[in-house]
Amino acid sequence: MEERIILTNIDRVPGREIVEHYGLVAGSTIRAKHVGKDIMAGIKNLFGGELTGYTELLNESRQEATERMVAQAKKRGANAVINIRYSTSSVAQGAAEIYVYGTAVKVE
Amino acid sequence: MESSLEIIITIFLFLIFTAVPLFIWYKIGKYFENKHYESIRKREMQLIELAFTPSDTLDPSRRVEAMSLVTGQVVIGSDPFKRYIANLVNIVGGRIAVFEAPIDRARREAVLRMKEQAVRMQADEVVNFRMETSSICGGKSQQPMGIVEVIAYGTAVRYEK
Repeated sequence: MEERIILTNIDRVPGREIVEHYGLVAGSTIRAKHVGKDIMAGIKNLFGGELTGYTELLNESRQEATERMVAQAKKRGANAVINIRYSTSSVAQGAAEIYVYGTAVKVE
Repeated sequence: MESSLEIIITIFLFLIFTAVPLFIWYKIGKYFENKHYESIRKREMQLIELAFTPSDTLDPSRRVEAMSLVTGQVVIGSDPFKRYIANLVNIVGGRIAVFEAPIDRARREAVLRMKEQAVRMQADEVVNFRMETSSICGGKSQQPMGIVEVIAYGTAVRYEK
């Protein structure tokens, strides 16, 4: 039975009681776009405004990092991740790291 | 005679290679900025009903039906006119007003995207709202503002009717 995991960034699950605590789970990913997208972003940066290519890239990385965190939580037998935090940092030109972490718990 | 000719040539070159391109960049940047602000204001009015708060207290008198993490993110850059002005301001120091608009745009856009995601799950409010800004211009530290990422996230809550 594939149960959907509850994700939240508050420190509890409203209306449900936490019965078990599995500690910190985290997921991180570093991704870069291909050169074409980098060039496009460079051109876009001449006009100012949103760089859609990079937004897309970070969106994908965020999803991937979250999935990794969820997989880790599932492996430990949790059905919810609470207190989720995101952080982003740049590790190289055109590549960004997204780190996501939270506490894996079991709720009733 | 010769020195006045030199001055004229210098002014001419300045106009051709600096003033005119800067003016063009200014106009282009302004055009896209105004267009974006127009759309931000319109969508902000549409989503004004949905409350979001940085506190994590929920309405204790109502039962929670569903909750989910919602996020919105934007990557924004600046145009050459803004970078040029910022470089000048950097010499004397002071408030770099030209970079306030792009950051403001990015923040409001990120909040809107988060809210749009919350509306899709018919949420009543977004609690524990957090916003983070980071520079992802890695390796180009000599630039005053390279590329900035804003991420807004929170927990969307739907109460039982």
